Amino acid sequence: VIDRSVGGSGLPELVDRLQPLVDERMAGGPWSDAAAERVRRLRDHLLGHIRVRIRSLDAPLVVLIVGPTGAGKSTLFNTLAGRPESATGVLRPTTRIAVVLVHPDDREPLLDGTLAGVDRDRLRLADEPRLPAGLALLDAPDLDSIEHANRRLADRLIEAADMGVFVTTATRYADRAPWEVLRRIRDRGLPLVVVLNRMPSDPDEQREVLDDAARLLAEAGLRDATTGDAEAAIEIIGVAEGDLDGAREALSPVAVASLLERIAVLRDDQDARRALAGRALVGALAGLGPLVDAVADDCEHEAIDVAATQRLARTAFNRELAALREALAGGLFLRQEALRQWQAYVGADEITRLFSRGIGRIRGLISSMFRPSRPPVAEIRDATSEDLTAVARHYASEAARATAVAWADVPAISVQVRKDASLWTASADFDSHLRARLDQWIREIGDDIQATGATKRMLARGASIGVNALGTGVMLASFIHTAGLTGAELGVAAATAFVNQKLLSALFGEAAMAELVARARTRLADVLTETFAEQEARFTAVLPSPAALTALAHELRDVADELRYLPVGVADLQELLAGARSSGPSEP
Amino acid sequence: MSARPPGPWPPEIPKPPPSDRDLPAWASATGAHIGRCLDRLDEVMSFAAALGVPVEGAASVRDDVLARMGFPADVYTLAFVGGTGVGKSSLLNALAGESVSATSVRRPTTDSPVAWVPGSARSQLAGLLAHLEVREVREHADEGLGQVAILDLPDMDSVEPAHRERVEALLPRVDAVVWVTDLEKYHDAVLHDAFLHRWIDHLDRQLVVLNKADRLTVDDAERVRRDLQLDMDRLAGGDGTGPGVIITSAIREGSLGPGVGAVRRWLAEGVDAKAVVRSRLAASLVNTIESLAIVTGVDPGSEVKPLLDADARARAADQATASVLRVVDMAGAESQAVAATRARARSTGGGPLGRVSSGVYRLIGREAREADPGAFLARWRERGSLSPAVDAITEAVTEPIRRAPDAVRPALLAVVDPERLEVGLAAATDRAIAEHGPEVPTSRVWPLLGSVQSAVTAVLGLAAAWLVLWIVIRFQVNEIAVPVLGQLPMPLVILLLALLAGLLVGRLLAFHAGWLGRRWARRLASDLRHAIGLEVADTAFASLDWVESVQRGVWTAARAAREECGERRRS
Repeated sequence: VIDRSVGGSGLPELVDRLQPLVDERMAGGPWSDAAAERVRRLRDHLLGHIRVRIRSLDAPLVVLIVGPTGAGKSTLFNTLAGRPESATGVLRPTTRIAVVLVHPDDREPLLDGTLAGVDRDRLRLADEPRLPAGLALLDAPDLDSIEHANRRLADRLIEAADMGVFVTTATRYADRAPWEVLRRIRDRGLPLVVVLNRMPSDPDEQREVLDDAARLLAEAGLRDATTGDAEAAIEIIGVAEGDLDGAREALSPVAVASLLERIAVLRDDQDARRALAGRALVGALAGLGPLVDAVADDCEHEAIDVAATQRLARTAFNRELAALREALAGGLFLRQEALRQWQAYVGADEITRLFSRGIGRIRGLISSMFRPSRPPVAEIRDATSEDLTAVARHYASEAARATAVAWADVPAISVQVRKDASLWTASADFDSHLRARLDQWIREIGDDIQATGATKRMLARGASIGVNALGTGVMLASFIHTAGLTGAELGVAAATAFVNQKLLSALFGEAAMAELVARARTRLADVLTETFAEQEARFTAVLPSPAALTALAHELRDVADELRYLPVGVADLQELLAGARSSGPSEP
Repeated sequence: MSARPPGPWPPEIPKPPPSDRDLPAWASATGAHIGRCLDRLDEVMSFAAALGVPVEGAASVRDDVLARMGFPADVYTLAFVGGTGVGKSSLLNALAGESVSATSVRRPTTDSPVAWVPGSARSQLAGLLAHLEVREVREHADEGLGQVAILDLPDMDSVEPAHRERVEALLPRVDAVVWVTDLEKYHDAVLHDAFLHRWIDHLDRQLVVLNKADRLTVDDAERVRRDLQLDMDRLAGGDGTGPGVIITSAIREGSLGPGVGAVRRWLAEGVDAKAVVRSRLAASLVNTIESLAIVTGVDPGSEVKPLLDADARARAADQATASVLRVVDMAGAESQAVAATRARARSTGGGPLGRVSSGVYRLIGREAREADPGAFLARWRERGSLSPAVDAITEAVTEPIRRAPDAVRPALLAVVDPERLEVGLAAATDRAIAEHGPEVPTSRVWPLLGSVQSAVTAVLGLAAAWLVLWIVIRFQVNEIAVPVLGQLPMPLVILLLALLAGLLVGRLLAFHAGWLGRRWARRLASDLRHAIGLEVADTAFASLDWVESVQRGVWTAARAAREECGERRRS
């Protein structure tokens, strides 16, 4: 249906590409209110206007009446409708729903197109057979009352409009609240008519108010978009106080004659409607690129914010992991009882006595008679795992708490973080996961010893001590080590380290032992890193992915660029419209 | 980690300096004593500051109050606040019966405040008006209006943001307000959300004027008025105490439209200016105190809720105590205690052989290792770390941190500083152990048994010597007559009997020592458990208790403020 749509321009394809991107962005829940507002606007605009218009310029043309509460929107609407259709009243705000005057045939297209996604409870469609198919009159609720839902509905309808009628009063024309809506109308290049109700009766005062209102509109950059003249002023229709057609809850038709006339032209002339629709579409397309760009900007900014938030967690977990490593390094977390047991087992060995003199030698001799017959492997492993887990859990909880407290100050996720108690400490499965990893770590030490021993020709004694006991020795050596001091007068950790090292180096040789211990240490570091990463991931799961946001921004920018170079401009549309005029409204 | 409070812990709560303010006489009266209200605010501010809650807003209210008290209160200030075009200036002109403030159809009209004051009070008001930065002042000689300076303010909803800023800067400093609105604007979001909602509680004398009622029938106008009155009551707490709503008509200069008379009467009704100023200051102070209390997590309207409920607290303390006891190892301590008692019994009641074995055990260090409960307990650090105990407490305290108001959270986070907690728990454990320093029990029976044992040993020695001698001599000399007990030689019998006696006495000693030792060990363990439990409970929540005591301080001051400054409604 080339003549009545812009189907051949590549625009529908672009819009089809844009739609899922916008949906994705909406689903992601933008972090800032402003960003949420922009993407909401883009979605409404795509859904309520652009998609409808590129399908057909003959889709019902939407004339929207907006304005502050109590300005007389419904009264004007009734005037245009020629009957009391929208309730007027003294309690503010009066209208909490949007009333739509529509030809019966246009009901479905309107609900499926322009008004798609609007809550049906907030719409009332009134059939008007006198109106031709292709023209709909909408009365929006207010923009500025304490009913904030009214503002949201009006914002949605603005995105769908082809022409705006802004109703205000002599009291309200300088109010701040509605100007955002007026600016949106300006940005979209929509034709706008301003109706100033409740004008003072004095002609001089009327002039003064009209001039002042015109000045404000001009200062805000609002121009009449219907004429070719870029500087043309907006038409302002002043309605004097009390100029009412009381019986119909309407204004006197004479007062708004020029507006009625404009509506009448649209009613009677399909070409005029099509021209208006085309102009609205051109304006919409001109504004679409920048809007998409703005949403892409939001995505990029949010990616930066998300990354910064992630960094808060990363910093906390890295800091606590480093603190944990430090706490483990000296072996201070090991209970000395376990070390003493190990020292009693290993230290009684003759190897030690070779390095002792005098009384130490004799003491060694005596204590070797009391030497435990069985290496205390299981006890030491259990004690080590248990202590290590407790210490690690402690630091992981610290990291979680620090992150949760920091994140509770990030507005976008604050509620979620505060609600989720599990985020505030290490997770419940922390202990079991770490214990499993530590068991695996100890098994790997055993494997490593067997591999090393096979090539090294292990001492017969080493073989008799057993791989398990050697593994325990290597495990302890990865926490405690001493730099060549005799352990006699140092603490139990250093003493145990001393005899432990002597045993291991006697069995494996100095170099091989060092490598064994270094490998065990590296693997332990990996175990801890992995466990902390798992804890941190619980936090990262709360956030959107910065990479996905950046990718989304990228795709949005691609679409925005293509929109900018789309071979559809005013001229093309004029051409399309001209074509439409010559071929007439032939096919549906 | 958040900033930890520096210095000793818990930090001292700074006491506000004793108030020696030089207050005007009008500021103190039964019902609302501004000096005392200020003291309460100072208290709450110092508590809040100790919790790290920002108090700048409260300080500025305090400054405004102090500034207001520097000016006379014989005349109070009343501001007309409302949107553009609702007729603030017209209302003033109608009250005055002449043009006081310029009106116009251009919006917005008034851009700087205009004051309308009784001529008699002009000079007295000069300082206050200058303080409020009101430069345009008009006089009147109408004595019927009461001692009031009416300020016609600019609008707060037009495209001129500077107008709204002026209104917001003046609102905290005026004594009373008339909210002016009209049939179009009475439900505007800006009026309700940004002004009424925020200020109704901070003011005492206020009125709502619904203008331009002549656009409607009398009945309709009354319907709108009731609608708005309902809103006002709701805002003020729903108990029908909201500011009254008066309907007025669009007013032309010089004509007293319907309703303007009512406003006039409201202005004139037996109002004491000093009371107005005092109530306003009190309302402002009480509400500032209450808002600050809410920010610190305290609701002055109800009881103080503990940060951590008693159950959770007891659970965490039990868990921590159990963890500490596991490290201290009570079973180990008990067996050491029994061994120590036995060792002592051995050395006093074991006879010469007992002494020898005691000496050997001491030499190889077995006694120090296995029979010294004091040293064993003191070495608790070697048997594990307090991490699990610390974690039990930090995890319990995490819950209140999570639920805390934002402003208090950093202070609470500092509370769960695990290092400080660990040091505290370790000290507590040491303290408990030191207090129950084990004194190994002894018994008078032991030396007795010892002498018996010694005697038995001597007999044993003699019998052995006799036996040896007998054997040696028997082999050298052919035969020597030896007393024979039945078929057995006497020395052998004595030897066996002595051995049996020694064994029996030894058993008796061991049995007695074991019984005594176990009894002592049990007592020691239960004392220690109890002491550690108490110490842990004390230490674990010391910081939380500190925060709670600060909060209780806030609550007490806020309650006192309610009493002393008059009960105020809260939204």
